[in-house]
Amino acid sequence: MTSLAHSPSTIADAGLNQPMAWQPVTWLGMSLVVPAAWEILQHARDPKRGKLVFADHRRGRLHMGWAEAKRPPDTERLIEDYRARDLEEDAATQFSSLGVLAGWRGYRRRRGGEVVTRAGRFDDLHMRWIEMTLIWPDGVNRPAERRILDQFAVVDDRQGPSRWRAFGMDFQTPRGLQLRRADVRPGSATMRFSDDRRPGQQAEIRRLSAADAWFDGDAQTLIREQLPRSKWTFEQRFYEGRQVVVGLTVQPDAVWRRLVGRRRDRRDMVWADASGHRVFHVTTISPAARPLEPEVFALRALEFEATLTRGGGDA
Amino acid sequence: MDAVPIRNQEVRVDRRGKDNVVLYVPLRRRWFNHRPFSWILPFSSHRAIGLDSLGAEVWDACDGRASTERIVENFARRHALSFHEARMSVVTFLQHLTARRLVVMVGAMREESAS
Repeated sequence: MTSLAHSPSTIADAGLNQPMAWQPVTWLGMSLVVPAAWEILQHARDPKRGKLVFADHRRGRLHMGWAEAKRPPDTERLIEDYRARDLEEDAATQFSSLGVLAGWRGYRRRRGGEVVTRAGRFDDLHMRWIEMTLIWPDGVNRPAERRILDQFAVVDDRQGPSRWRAFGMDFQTPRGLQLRRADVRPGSATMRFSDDRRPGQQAEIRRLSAADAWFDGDAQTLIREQLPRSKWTFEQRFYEGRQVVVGLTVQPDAVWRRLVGRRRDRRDMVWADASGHRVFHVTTISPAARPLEPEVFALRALEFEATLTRGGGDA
Repeated sequence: MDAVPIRNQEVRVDRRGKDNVVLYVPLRRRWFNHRPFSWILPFSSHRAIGLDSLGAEVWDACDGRASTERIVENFARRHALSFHEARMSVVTFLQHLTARRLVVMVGAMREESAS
């Protein structure tokens, strides 16, 4: 794995034998790799139904949708229905079969210069139908298509922690924590989790960028700003080979919580990456009796992978 | 994204240290900006707009050659942002600059220069 500076812009649709950077994405128990220039523009939080949409600089390139199903659908028939619908939209559409590729069934559709790969497979671990639509504006890049479909995997997170790789972050959440919100703004990405079975337990994972313009290295001040009126205590910890600052305080909940012994503690862990461009921030709020340490999330910067593509565009 | 931002040549740039840039935009002189009114009320001939380090960086990148896409790419690379994160910041900032007549966006520069 080669760590690249966050520079996916120049490697979209690399041609013959050019190094192409790829990024791993793990979301709601689905793991895939996509060209690094494809970014998540739409996301869903519901593991039962939703979609992820990836786009390059100009347009959508990959739509991955999922929907819960009680039993595996008749894949052949489903694919045939899609094909019929495409043909209905445009009678001049040309088709070629994808066959069975790494468990995916589907076809390629050509209209003018644009090729669309449509494939589906059943995730029998989580009982959901997964569909992938890849858009190739200038003809299909078969090695890239093969790699995306081939490297897709369903992650068994039913008994253990769930892994997340998205928005420049790579981390895991303890079992039971569900994604409640993912908020991506210029310069920051925040993912919030809470646990329905253990009320009161929450976590927030943040990646802040352009840190060279605003972060002077004072992690304690950054933590204090989260709750300026709270009394913080700070400690230095060693995490992933670096010194990090952890702030501890009592979560300012309603008074009754403390009176009935349901006080919650808040822990904030902050550090800047080696380049100084990004700041990572983990916040946990948990009952005092069951502390949730920020290190549990094993947060680190998402790494890109550079590989050589063999073979170029193809109609 | 192909449009090329070009700086207003009339804008005067005052660099106050590394992270502080002030742009002075000349104001159109109206009838009340002239004497004898100007003897009584000292109207400013320029409007000052301060830029922080990130704003100054985008301003400097508007060299009349780089397209918006190229500026966004470089900004993203320099600050460890994703392309679309950088795009939102840079394009919004360029819109502000355009509204204040500090830059103009010239479209289809590539095609023109190619022909």
